[in-house]
Amino acid sequence: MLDAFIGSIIIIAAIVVLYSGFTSREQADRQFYAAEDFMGVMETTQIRNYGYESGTIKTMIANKDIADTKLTLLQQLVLFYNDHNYANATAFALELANRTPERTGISICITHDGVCETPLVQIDETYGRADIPPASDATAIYSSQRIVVLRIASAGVPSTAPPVIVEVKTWQ
Amino acid sequence: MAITVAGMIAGRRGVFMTLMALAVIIFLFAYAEVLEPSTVAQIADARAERTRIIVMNNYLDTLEKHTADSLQTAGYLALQNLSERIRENKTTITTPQQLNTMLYQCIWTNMSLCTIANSSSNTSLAYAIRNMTTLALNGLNINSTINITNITINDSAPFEVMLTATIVYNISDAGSETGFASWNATSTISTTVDVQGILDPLYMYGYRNDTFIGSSRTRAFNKAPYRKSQLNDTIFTSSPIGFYYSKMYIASVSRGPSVVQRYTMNWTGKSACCGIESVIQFTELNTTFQNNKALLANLSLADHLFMKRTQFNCTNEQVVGLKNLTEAHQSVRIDTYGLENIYNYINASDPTVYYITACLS
Repeated sequence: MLDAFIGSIIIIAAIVVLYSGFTSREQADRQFYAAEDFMGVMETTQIRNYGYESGTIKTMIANKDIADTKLTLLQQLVLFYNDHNYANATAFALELANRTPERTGISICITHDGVCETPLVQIDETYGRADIPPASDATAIYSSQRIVVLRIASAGVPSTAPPVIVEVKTWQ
Repeated sequence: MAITVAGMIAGRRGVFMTLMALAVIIFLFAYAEVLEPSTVAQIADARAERTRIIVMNNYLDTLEKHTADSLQTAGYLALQNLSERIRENKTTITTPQQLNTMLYQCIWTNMSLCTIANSSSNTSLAYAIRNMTTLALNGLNINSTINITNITINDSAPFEVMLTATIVYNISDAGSETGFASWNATSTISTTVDVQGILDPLYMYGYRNDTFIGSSRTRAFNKAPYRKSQLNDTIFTSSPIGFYYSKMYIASVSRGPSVVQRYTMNWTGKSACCGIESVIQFTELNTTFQNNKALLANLSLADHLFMKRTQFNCTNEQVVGLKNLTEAHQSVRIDTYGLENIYNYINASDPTVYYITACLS
C-alpha cells in the first residue's frame, strides 16, 4: 500500500515537473513571438481599422497629420519618419507601444543606415511599467525587423522613398 | 520473524510497482525529449534559425516588391528617354525585340544610353537595388547579390505597358559561417507603367523625318478624362474643336496603334487590346459630318493621316470636318504649319470659317 502511494507520488511529481517545463517553454515562445506579433499587427492593420476612438491617432486624423487612413500603421510610422516629422513619429509609436501587455518591455526604432542607436520609444520601468527593467538590463531580448520602402505619391514619374529598417524589441 | 510466502509476494509487488512507476517516468521524460529539443542550446538554436528565416523571408518579399516598384520608375524614365532619342534621330526602333533590347540597356546594362531626359542616377534600378542590399547587409546581416538578365515590354492596356524582368538573386545569411539559410533563385517580376506624360514616339518619328515642320509638333500621351461613348453627347456637341486641340488621347480598341506599336514605327497598327488615338474617329462625328462617315470609317486622323503625309497625296481632296474651326481656336492649336501644309488648311470664301481637309489613298 505504501509502495503504491510512493509510486503514485513519484509519477505525479514527474508529471508536474514536465508540465511546468512545457508551460515555461510556451511562455518563452509567446515572449519570443511577441515582437514578431506586434510587427505583424503594425504591418497588416490599416489605420481606419485601428481602434482610435480617442487618443493620439484620433487627434492626428482630426489635425490632418494623418491624411490617408488606408495606410497601415507601419506605413504611417515610416511616413512620419521619412518626412522628418519625428515628433509625430514618436507620438504615433508611443500610442501603439502602449497597447502591449503591462508585463512586457518594448522599444521601436527606425534607421535608414542599419544602425539603430536611439529608439523612437522605449517602454520599461522608467516609463511606468513596474518590474520591467530597461532593455540594457534584460536577460533576453526578442527582436523583429522589417525593411520598409514607401511609394512616393506624385504626378509624373513614379518613385520610391529610400528604404528604412524598423525594429521592434520586446523583453521582460 | 518468519517470512511468509504471502509476505514475499506482497514485498515483490511493492518493488514491482516502484519499478513500474520509474519506467513510466522514464517513458514520459523520453517522450518529452523526442517531442521537442530539450537542451537550452537546441532551443536557442531553433529560435535563432526561425528568427533569421522570418527576417530573410520578409526581406526577400520586400526586395521583390521594391524591385518591381523601382522597375516601374526606371521603365517610365527609359521610355521617356527613348522618345527623346527618337526625336533627336539617335534611335530608330523597328521591332519589339529591338525595343526590348534597348529598354534592357537603358534600365540595367548601359544606363548612359538613356540620360537625355530628367533621369538621375538615384532613380535608376541599380541604385535602388544597391540601396536595399546595402541596408540589408548593414542592418539585417544579409548578403544579397542581384542581377537582371532580361527585360521585356508588352502592351497591357491602353496607355499602359507591362515590363517583365528576369531577376537572378542569391540571398544568404551573413550572420554565421555557414549561414542559417540561403536562396538561389531565378524569378520574374512584372510591373505596369502608365505612359501618360511621355512623348508619343509616333509623333517623334514624324517630327524627326519632317524637318520642315515646326518644332511645336510634339505631343505627350494625355488621357482624356471621359469615355469614348461620352464624346458624341457632350464633348463634341459642345466643343469638337476643343477636343481636337486638347492633345488628348482616348482608348480605341482595334483602331489605333498601341504604345509598343508606336515605338516600333507601326503606323497603321490597330491593337485589339490597347489601341489609342489622339483624335476621335470621325465616324463618331457623324451627326456633325455625315458626308464623311463612309470615307473615314476605321481610320484615325492623327494616327494615320497626320503622321503619314504620303496618305495626303491624293487628287480628290475632300473636306472631312472641323468646319467650325475659327480664329479663336487658332491660338491654342498645336501645329500651325502642319495644319496649313499637311491638312490643307483652307481659308475659303468666308475668312472666319476654316476647314481641315484630307483624303485617303
